[in-house]
Amino acid sequence: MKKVDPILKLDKKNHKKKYFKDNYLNLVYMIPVLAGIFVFTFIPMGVSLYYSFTRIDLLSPVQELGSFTFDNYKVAFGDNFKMMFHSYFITFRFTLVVGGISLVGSYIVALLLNQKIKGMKTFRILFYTPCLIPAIAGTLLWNGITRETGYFNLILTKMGMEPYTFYSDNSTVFLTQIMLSGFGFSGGMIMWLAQFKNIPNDLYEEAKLSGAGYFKTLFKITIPLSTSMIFYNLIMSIIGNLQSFSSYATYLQFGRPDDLRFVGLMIYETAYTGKYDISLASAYSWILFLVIGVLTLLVLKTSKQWVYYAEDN
Amino acid sequence: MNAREKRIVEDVFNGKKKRVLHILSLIGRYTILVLLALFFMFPVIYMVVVSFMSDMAAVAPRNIIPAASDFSLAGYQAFFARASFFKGIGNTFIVCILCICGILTGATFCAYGLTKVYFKGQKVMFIIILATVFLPGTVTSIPLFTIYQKIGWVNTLFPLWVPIWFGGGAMNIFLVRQFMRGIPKSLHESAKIDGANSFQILITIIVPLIRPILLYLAITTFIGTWNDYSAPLLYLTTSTSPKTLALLIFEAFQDKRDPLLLNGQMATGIIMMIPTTILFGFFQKELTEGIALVGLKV
Repeated sequence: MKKVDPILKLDKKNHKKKYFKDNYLNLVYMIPVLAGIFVFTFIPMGVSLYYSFTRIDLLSPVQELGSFTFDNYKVAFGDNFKMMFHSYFITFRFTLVVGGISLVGSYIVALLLNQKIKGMKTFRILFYTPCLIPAIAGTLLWNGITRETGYFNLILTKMGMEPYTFYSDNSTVFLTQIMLSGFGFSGGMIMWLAQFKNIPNDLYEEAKLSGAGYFKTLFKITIPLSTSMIFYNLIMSIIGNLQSFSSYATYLQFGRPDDLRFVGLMIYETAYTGKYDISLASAYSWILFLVIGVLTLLVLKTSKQWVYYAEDN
Repeated sequence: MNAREKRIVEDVFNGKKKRVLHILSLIGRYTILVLLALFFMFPVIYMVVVSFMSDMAAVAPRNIIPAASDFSLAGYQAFFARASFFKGIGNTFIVCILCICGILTGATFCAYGLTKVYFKGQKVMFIIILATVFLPGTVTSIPLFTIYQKIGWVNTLFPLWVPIWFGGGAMNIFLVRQFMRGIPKSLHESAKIDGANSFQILITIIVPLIRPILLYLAITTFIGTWNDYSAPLLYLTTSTSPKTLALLIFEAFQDKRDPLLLNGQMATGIIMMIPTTILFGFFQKELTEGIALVGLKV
C-alpha cells in the first residue's frame, strides 16, 4: 500500500482551503446584489424579450402561449408606426432641448450659488425648495396653474392678453414644457456644488495672479474640470428623459393630447390600459431599450475626448 | 502739487473706485439672487396660498393677490376627511424605513465586496453592476409585474421594498464604494494581523468610518421613496390594497365622485412635504458634503 505522508496531505488540504478562502469566500458579500440582479433584472429582461416575440392575450379565458411571431414588431413598425414615431419625436425633442437647457441652466444656477458672500446658505435652501415638492404634487400644481381658468391665464387676461393654451393645445405643449423646466434648475445644485468643491483652490489663485477675469477662469478652469460631472449628468438625463413617465397626471387631466404621449407613457398605456397588450408593449420596450443603448454608447465613445477625470492626472 | 502728491491722489482715487465697483457688484449679485429666489420659491408659495383657499377661488381664481374672502380651510378639511390618507402616511413610512434599511445593508455589503476583499472575477462583477445603472427600466417593468402577479405580490407593499434589499441600486453601491476606497488599506491589514476576519472588520472598523455617506443615502432614500408614485401606481391598483400617500393623491384627483380639488391637492402636497423639508433643512450640510467627499468619479 502506498504510504501517503500525512503531513503533506494536510498541507494540501489547507492549501486548498486557503485558496478557496482567498479567491472565492468573499463572494459571499456579493450574493445579495448578484441574486438581485439575476432575479430582478436578468430574468425579467429575458421574459420581456420572449413576450415581444409572442402574442399573449391577458383577457382571454384560456392563457395560450402562442408560437414565435414577429407580429408585435410588424405592428410597431407598420400600423402603429405613425403613433410610435410621434412619441419618439416628442420624447427626443424634450430630451434634447429641455434636457440641454436644464443642464446649462442648473450649472449656471449652481455657479450663482457658489459665491463666497454672506447669506449663501439661506439662498441655497430657498432655491432648492421647488425640488422638495413631491413629483405628483408638483405635476398637479402646474396642471392647476396652466388651466384655462388657472392662475397664469388670470394674470394674462388681467393684463389684457388672450388666455394661453399651455397644455390644452398640441401646438403650445412644447413651449410650456420649456418654460416650466426653469423651476427644476436648482435640482442639480447639490451635485454641481460638490464638483466645484473638488476643484483645487490654487488653480483659481494662480488665475487671479495672472490677471484672469471671471469669464476666463470660468471657461478655462471651472468648466473643463467639471466635465466628469457634466458627462454623468448628460447620460443620466438622456436615459431618464427618454423613458420619462412623470407627466402622466398632466396627460390624463388635459385629455391625453398626442404631444404629451412620451414613449414611456405609450408603453404604460399599451400594457396597463385599454387592451392590456403586454406583448406589444414588450416589443415597444425593447425598441426603446435599443435606442437608449445606442445613444448611451455613442456618448460614451465620444466622451474620452472631452471628459477630464481627476484620477487620471 | 508735485509729482509725488499727484501719485498719492491717484492711488486714493483708484482705491475708492475699486471699493465703489465692489459695492456695486455686490448689490447687483444680491439683486439677482433675491429675484431668482423669489422665482424659485413661487411654486411653494403658490402651494401654501392655494391650500388655504376655498374651492371656487382655487379652481377659478378671480384675483391675482388673493382676497381675504377667498380664505378657507376647505383644502385641509378635504385632507382630514379622507381616512385613507392617514393609512397612506403609515404605509409610506413603513416602505421608506424598509427601503432605507435595505439600501444601507445591501450597498455596504456589495461595496465592501468590490473594494476591500478579494475574490476572482471582481472586475467583471463591477462592470456588470455598472451596466445596470444605464439599463432603462422599461424592459424589466412589464415582466416584473407579471412575475409579481404570479407570486401574489401585486396589491401588497412587497414589490416596493423587497428588490431594494438585493443590491439597493447601483448608484448607491458606487457612492459607498468610492467612500470605502478612501479608507487606507493599512487599517484593514493590521486588523487582519490581529486575527479579525473580513466580516468583523466590516462591522467594527469600516462601517463607523463610512457613517457620512450612509447618512446621505438614508436621507436621499427616504425622500425618494416618500415622494415616489410610479411604483405604487403599477402595483397597488385595487381599492383594497394598501396605498402610499403619493398614490392616494393621484387617485383622489381622478376620483369622479368626489374629486380632490386644487386646494385639497395643494394641502395634501404641503403636508406631504413636511417630513422631507425637515430632513433637508436639518441635514443640508451633510447632504452637500456627503457627495463632495466622494467626488463622484464614475
